[in-house]
Parts: sequence; C-alpha cells; structure tokens
Amino acid sequence: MNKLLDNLGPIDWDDFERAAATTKEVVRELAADKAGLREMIYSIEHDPYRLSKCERHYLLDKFVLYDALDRGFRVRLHMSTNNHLDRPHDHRFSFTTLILTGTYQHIWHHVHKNVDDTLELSDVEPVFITNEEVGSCYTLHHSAVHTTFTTPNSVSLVIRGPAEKQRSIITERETGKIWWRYGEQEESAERRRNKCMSLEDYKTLRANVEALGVI
Amino acid sequence: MATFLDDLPPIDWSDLMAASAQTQSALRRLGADKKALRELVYAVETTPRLLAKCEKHALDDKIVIYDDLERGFRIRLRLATSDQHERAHQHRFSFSTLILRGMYHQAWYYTDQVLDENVDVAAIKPVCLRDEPAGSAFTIHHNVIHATMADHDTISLIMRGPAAKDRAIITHKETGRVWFRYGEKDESEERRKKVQMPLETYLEWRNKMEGYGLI
Repeated sequence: MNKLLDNLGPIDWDDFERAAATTKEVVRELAADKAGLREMIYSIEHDPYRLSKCERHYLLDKFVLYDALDRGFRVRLHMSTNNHLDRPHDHRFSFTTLILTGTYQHIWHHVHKNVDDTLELSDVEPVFITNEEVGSCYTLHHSAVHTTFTTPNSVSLVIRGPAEKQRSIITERETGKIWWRYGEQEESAERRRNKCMSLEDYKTLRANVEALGVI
Repeated sequence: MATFLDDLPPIDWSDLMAASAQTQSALRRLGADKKALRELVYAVETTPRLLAKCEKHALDDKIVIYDDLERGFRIRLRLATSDQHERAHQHRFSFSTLILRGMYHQAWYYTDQVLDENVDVAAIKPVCLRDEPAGSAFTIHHNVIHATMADHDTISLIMRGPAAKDRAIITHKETGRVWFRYGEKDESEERRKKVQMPLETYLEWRNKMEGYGLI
C-alpha cells in the first residue's frame, strides 16, 4: 500500500516524454518520503509475491517495492554489489531512476550495427560519459545501450515500464562476450533459483540500506 | 597568468574514455579553485584575443577563458539566459562540461538518418531525458544529438576539443526547422559582429558569478 502509487497511472511509455515527466516527479516524491519508502521495503518480508520477485545478480541486487505493470509500472530499489564491470546493455523496458546514495559512472554507447547475436564490442562506441551523483535522475528508453559502472553501495530507486521486447542484450567489454536476458516467464527454473533472493539475504540487504540512510 | 592548465598534456579526443577522465578531472580542479577561475575570468577583459571569442546568443552566452586548441582544448563558461527552447543539435567537437550552478535538463536523441538539410526532425527521437544538478560533469562525442535546457542563470564550465567537422546541425523540435552552425572562421563578418559579446554583458556575467560565489 502506498497512497501515491495506488493512485498512479496508467502510464503510457509510448509517450516517452510524458512518461518521463510523470515518473520523475513520482520517483522524487517517493525518495523524499522516507517513512513510506521504509514501509514498502519492510513489508516485503511479509509479502511472498514481492519477495519472490526480488533478485540477486552479479553486479546488482533488486528489491521489488511495488508491482503494478497492469498500470504500466513497477518500482524497484537497486543496490550495487561489490562487483563492478563495464557491461554495455539495453533493457526490455524503458525506466526512470533517481540516485539515492553512492555514485556510478554512466556511459551511453552508439551501436554501429544491429543489436543481435553477431554484435561485437568494437561496434559499441562510448559517446557520453558521466558520473551519476546523488540527486541525478534520468529516464532511459529501452533501445539505448548503456553501461552503469557502479561503486560499492550505490543505491537507486527505479520505476520501470512494461517489457517492450522479448530479450535484452548484455555485453562485457573485458571479455568480448555477449549474451541475452529474458523476462521471468521465459527463464528456466534453475536460473530463477540462482537469482532468487532468500529471506536472509533480503534482511542483510535491508539492514545495509538502513545503515546507508536510504530509509 | 599561470595556472595548472598550462601544464596539462595534450588531449586526444579520439579516445573519448581517456579524454573524459583527463578533462573532467581538470574541470573539477578548476571549478574548485575559485582563485584561478577568478583570475582567468578577470583576465578576459584585458585579453582582446579571448574577448573577441566571447559570444552572446539567444539561449546562452559564452565567455572564453582559455584557448589552446593546439594542445586539444579550449575552456569557456556557458551562461544560460532565461530563454530556453528544445533544440536537438550536434557539436562540431567533442567536449566535457561541469555544471557549477543551476540545473541542466538534458535530452539524448537518436536517429539513423543522414543529418543533412532533408532530415525529418520528428523522427529524431529522445532516448534519455536527464536532470543534472550542479556538480554533475559529462563528456559528449561530437556525433551525439542532444539538447540541454538549463534553468535560469545556470553556469557551467566547458572544455572542448578541436573541431571534428565543418558544420553541426541544429533542429527546432516544435517547428521542424533545420539549420547548421559553422566555425568562427567560416562565419561572415556580419554574423561575427552580431554574436560578439559586448563588454557590458561580460561585466554583468562576471558580477553575477561573483554574486553566486563561483569566483
């Protein structure tokens, strides 16, 4: 339950500029309401549905704070792990994010051919390089290929839209490898198990965001 | 007048990642060194070569404080007036920016069209819409199409590289109009006269920067 989010939407991401304006305002309001944010994070513990959607990845852990894709949005908290790599990637959905703590290097790439299995890292050219600092906020279209080169303890609040394609690409600058990420419904049981967040992990991560002053 | 800028090694903008590290670090050092920045800004008044490069435009003014394109850089202040429109454009050169005061609302655009007189402005689509507070820094490749709408009296430091092309496109999103901007050497005398900053405007900005505690 969150009054602001309960009354939000539907958000139409086809109108990218309008979706950006709406979600930027919402993400800032959510971040400013620490009690509300705390409530959304703590209540995951007693909500098996949202807990089952929380994920652990090599570079990033994610809490799902609010799920309303039927109204065009899902709210997540992203927490960087201690692994940091230059992995240019795109997303299956457009999203808005606000940096709450920490910082990360953000690189946008021009891709000089189609984004498919034959893509090579030499086709992925950095064209915009910045450090996202606390208070930075942006909306990114699902077609953009970018790198978020994190530092420890960077935490951001994310509002994502519905998936607009079946898969998204991940590449790794260091090794030249490319692979794909699929939506939950297309993932194998093994993959789901691997990235699933245990209750214990959830509590450790929650204590960490608390210590960082996010809530 | 000597500053650390005199000792900077040449900047190679063909390696944008390396150039971004070098130039963002130099800009941060300069932004934090109010004394050096003050001396550079004051020196413009008595340096005809720099004063001749200062310009007054509809959307923003520029004061050139350091010019050494042979070593790969020129540094200027971008001073945003209150008159801001969404103009998706490229630059003839890659550059880095540090926002000293105010806020940028920046858009990145993408199109695979050839960027000539016949470009369809409506098909130049935004892929990222960003709010960048004071303290943000970024480096941008000359092939990126972007727009930076700044809040009133937003002041930023810009470190640009040498021109990589003869002209850069400017588009007006609302009207669909397209035109090009050329380098100083290709501009008519009439145009130079028109854009040249009057000493009075330079003094106004200098006073403002003092008032804002930037120098």
